[in-house]
Amino acid sequence: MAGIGFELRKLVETRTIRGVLGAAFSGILVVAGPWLLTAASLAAAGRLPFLAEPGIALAFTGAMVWALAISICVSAAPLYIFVRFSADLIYQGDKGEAVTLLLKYAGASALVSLPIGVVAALFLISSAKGILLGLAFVLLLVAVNALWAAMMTATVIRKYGRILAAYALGMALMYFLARILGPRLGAAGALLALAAGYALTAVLLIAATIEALGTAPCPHAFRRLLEYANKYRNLALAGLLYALATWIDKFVLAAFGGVAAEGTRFLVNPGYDTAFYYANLALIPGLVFFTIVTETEFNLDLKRLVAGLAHRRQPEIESAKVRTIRGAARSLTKQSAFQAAVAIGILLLSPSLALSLGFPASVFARLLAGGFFQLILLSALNMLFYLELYRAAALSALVFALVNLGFSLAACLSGNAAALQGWPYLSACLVSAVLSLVFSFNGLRRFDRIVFLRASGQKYGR
Amino acid sequence: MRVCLVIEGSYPFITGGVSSWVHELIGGLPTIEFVLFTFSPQADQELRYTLPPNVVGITDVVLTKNAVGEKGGGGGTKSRRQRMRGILASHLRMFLGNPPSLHDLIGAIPEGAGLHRESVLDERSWRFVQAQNRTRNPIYPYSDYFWAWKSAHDLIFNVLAATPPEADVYHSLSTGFAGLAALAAKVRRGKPFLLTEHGLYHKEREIEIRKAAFVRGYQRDLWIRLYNRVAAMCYEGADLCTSLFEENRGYQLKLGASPERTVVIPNGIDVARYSVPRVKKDDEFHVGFVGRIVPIKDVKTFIVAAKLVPDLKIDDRLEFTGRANVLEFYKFLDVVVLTSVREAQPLVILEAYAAGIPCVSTDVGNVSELLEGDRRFIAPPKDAAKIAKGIEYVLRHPDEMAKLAVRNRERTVANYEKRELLDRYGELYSRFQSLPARKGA
Repeated sequence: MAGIGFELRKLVETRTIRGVLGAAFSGILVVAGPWLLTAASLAAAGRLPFLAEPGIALAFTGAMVWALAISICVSAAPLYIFVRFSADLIYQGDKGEAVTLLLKYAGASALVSLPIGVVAALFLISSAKGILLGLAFVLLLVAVNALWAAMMTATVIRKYGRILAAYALGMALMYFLARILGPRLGAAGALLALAAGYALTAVLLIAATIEALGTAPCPHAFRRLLEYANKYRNLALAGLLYALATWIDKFVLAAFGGVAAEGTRFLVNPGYDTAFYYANLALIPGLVFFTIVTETEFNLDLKRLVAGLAHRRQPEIESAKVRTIRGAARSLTKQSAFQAAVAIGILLLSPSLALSLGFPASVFARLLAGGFFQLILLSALNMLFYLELYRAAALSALVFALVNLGFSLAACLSGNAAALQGWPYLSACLVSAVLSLVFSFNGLRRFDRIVFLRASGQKYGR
Repeated sequence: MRVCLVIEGSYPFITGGVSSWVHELIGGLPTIEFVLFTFSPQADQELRYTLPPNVVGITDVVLTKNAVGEKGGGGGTKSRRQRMRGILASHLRMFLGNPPSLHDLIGAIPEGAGLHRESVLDERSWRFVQAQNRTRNPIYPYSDYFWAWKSAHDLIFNVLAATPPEADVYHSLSTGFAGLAALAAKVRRGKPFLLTEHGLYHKEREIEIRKAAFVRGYQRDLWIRLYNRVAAMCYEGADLCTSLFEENRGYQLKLGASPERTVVIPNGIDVARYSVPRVKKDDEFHVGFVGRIVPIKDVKTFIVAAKLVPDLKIDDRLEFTGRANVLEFYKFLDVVVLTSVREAQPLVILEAYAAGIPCVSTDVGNVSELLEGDRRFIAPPKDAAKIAKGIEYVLRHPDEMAKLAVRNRERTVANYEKRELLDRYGELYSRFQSLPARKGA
């Protein structure tokens, strides 16, 4: 994201209202455009008459949430490795090879998703009534998994308009098909429509990427991918653990007190899940800030520091390091202050939001606070990725997952799950954010040492 | 009895004077078992010699390869850090003029262990390197100092981490990394350490470092100090240091070797083997250069010198033979020329003398002594004109050369006979084998 960050930064640096607003708007589109488009489309589809029937709505929501959750958790580790490999290919100028890798990866990802989806569906569908829903669930899982890879590579072409257009067309297809299939097939129809929409989006994104970058042979793609997985196993682990951590409280709460549509085990906890969803939307301004300010400043400082290691005298290196540390601290402080302001603003609106959207205001407040720390965690993880301290990133994600799991289980087993909702997530985000910050700044303080160590053939921290 | 020959960058992978010497030594002492503990710049080098049957094993260590793995082996992180701190304390004591004992220094790194990682990652090591850099390298980039420091230490870690073969005597053919490995074997295993120097390793390295344009600032001082320090440790720790001639023994003494543990054992050759019948070929005057085409042999000076001799008409008569049977050439050569910029006691002169051929040479190593200080045949290094004059003198004075050849041969038989050399080393091995085992220096 640093690439677009620099573009948006130029707009901000014009110091005009138009420039700042333009950067903010573009940032929102880049960071959360697909997310918002999907949310808006689903909201529109939710107003279709057939989805007004509570059983169908619950089956649709449950199957969709589970498909997304399983997809994210299953694909996170390979996706991180795929992104790292693609980024290296692109950095080396082998863009066509990266596109071929995308095609192979997306194909393989879809293929591997099939048996995973079937197994998951066999477990989650409890009666013959849900078979069609199960089938739609499997197809959605396949489409979503292909979409993740396509989306990751498409960001490289930096044609965000095309990305948004691909999403818009995909979601339009979803809405159109939902209108046709929904009344006939119920929740399964809506799910099939969503799968088709995602599939179309993935195809359009891949087509745009091929058009922009071309293709070139990528020999032994999977063997090389496996070599990367071996080399950067902590990166894969960080991806997997982070994905699990973000879902684990939802899984536990759903398992202990969730509801599922008849004939399925797609357990969900509608009140908590909705609150979480909206609390997560509140992260968008902070993410935009991160993209435009925090990441770009860190990227520039780190580049200067690295470039100077080979030819600068020791006092100059020390100064560059101090500048990078202070710059990172300053950016994170500004970002946190900004996000805090956003969160407080939303918090003031939360009673009315809670009333209209049907979730407890106190839970929403906790989730907003959790989101505040999750943004810090995300920023710190990003710094750790820049420093290639993947083991520290994996450890932070592990703590995130363990604290979230442990507190969620404790809350459910104590019989106070409803009263304690949101606390496990908040605690996990807080603890892991602090830990990842410690790792990041400690890594920065030792960065010159780490670079010299790695340059001498050691794999430290990866 | 088993002798471990510890060798860096020569036998059995590279041909040359030292390699020939080692080959002859092993072949000449067939009742002794030899194991080779070699240090090479790269792995899987081709053998350049057919190993005699009494060579029972080779352990080759690639100097630049960390053989103990990324983390270093030899215990956990805590123990490695403690060892690294021990080394730092030793460094400080060295800087304060109170060097630690060899046992303490070498004992800090057990066989199979390395501190490649701790030498950078450990907070105190890093601060130590930075503090040294501030003091010693204030002008040049930090990376210059770091890489010199790191490379030097990694090489030492690689050497000390290597496990030498079991043997009764460790015989190193130089100081430097081979000497350090033999010294470590002595300290750790209590076995005798015999050091034989042909040239002076630390002096040769110093010349190379001073000539290398890419080694600048404090890097240069660091490497020179390192090689000198290792040489001094070897002289201090060796049970006996042998050199080929008195001048080199003097250098050993200067760097801390004790007089009673130094001795001169000159090179020796199989005089009978080189006593080939002389045959006149093509009724021409033949000038020979016997050596590898490597920078220190300075073959260019030889070619220029040959061209400068008026009667030689070298233009279309220069032949590079490649590796050849020198005996075939000694039969008809009229003069052997050595233009090296650095030598110890060149075997080629002794071979030529045994074959009855006069020599013209640059004044390097022990050459002046071999040529009896006769300035007509000795030139400063790189002085092609003076070499040419020497060749011309040989060309124009065949009768005098015939008499000189006889005298040179007699001196060779009297002083440089291989059998005598072999007997002396055989005796030394036997004497050392019977020494009581003692660890430490």
